[in-house]
Amino acid sequence: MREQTYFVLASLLNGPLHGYAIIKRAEELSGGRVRLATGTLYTALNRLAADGHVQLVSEETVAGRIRRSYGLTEDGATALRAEAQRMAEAARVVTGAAARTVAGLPGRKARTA
Amino acid sequence: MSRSRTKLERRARLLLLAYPAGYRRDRAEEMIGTLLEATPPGRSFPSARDAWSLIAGGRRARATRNRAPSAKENLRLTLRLGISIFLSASIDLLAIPRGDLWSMIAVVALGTVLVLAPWLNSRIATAALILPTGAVAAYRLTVPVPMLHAWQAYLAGLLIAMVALAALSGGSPQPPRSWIWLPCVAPTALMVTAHDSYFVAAQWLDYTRFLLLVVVACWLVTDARPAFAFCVAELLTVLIAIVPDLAVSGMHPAMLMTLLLQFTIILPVLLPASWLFWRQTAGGTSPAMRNR
Repeated sequence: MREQTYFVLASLLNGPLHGYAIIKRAEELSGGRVRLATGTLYTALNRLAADGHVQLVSEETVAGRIRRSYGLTEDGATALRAEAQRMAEAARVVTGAAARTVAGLPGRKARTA
Repeated sequence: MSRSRTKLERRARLLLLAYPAGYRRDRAEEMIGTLLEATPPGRSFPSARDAWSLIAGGRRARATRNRAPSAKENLRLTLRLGISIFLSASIDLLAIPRGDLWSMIAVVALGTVLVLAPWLNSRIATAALILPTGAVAAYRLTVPVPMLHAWQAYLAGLLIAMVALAALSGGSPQPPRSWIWLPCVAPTALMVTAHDSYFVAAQWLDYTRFLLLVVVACWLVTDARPAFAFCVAELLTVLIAIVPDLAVSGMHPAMLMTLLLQFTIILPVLLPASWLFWRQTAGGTSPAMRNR
């Protein structure tokens, strides 16, 4: 799962949100790393809806313009948890072991051909 | 709404043209709302990131739309368009002799078919529209003219193509609206020059084919089907030109050179088109949010 997709799904964990709110929430959750552009957000939402990971939950009109809110489905929540689990296991490989670095060892020059 | 917001909205709408019409109808207002919220006040241009994401998203949405029909349906659509382009580029032959009432009937009827039939999506309607042109072509087959074999083979080829077009019509899916003018360019070019000499009209048709080649090559970005259809049309044009000569006098070097030249033009389009066609139609996944 791409990082952007992961944070779009994660932003919906606390309940349905509309487009701009998803952009803000994903940015907050990722510490400012994931800044979704409008086109990217809707491409991701389309794909996630086609996969059954998010669905449209409500439609309202704000300042004469339609505003739709999207929510996480059961399948979406399962996929998100599976991805989080995978990343946690991948992180444990690193965080659970003491790193034996080469600091202090005499270095050797790489042979050149 | 402030002036900068109005300008921003107008520019966002322009960028949204990258998306297919159906998609825009469904989502344009919502996307513009999001873009306006995400753009800081005072700005009248979308950010470069937003602009690029809309163009890339539009391209992707168009590719998704092309994937919606199955590979078989897409192939049928492509063949229909290819035969339409071929017929439109061959329409000049029906316009001989010039100024003749039957020629005009044949050209106008076939022109109407090419414009309407593929989008009427009905086999009976296509067959009914083709009938007048078919009748004129069939009648011409019985009239003796110089270079008889070539002329008759050409007319017979056109008749077969018309029958094939009718046979392939009908059933789903509907071709994209943007294809509608592709087969019309050649007849239009001819109509413009119809009062003039045959050679001027033929030259116009050559320019038209070149223009079409450029257009379908650019179209590869989102849709490989027009390029594929163009190659089908070119192959049919080559076939119809060489088969009668081959039958009468066998292959000679000049003909071989013409053939090679045609294929050199077709191959650079055909190869990427085949690859994209395969990629774009593989899987036949469902269109995204439209079915929600």
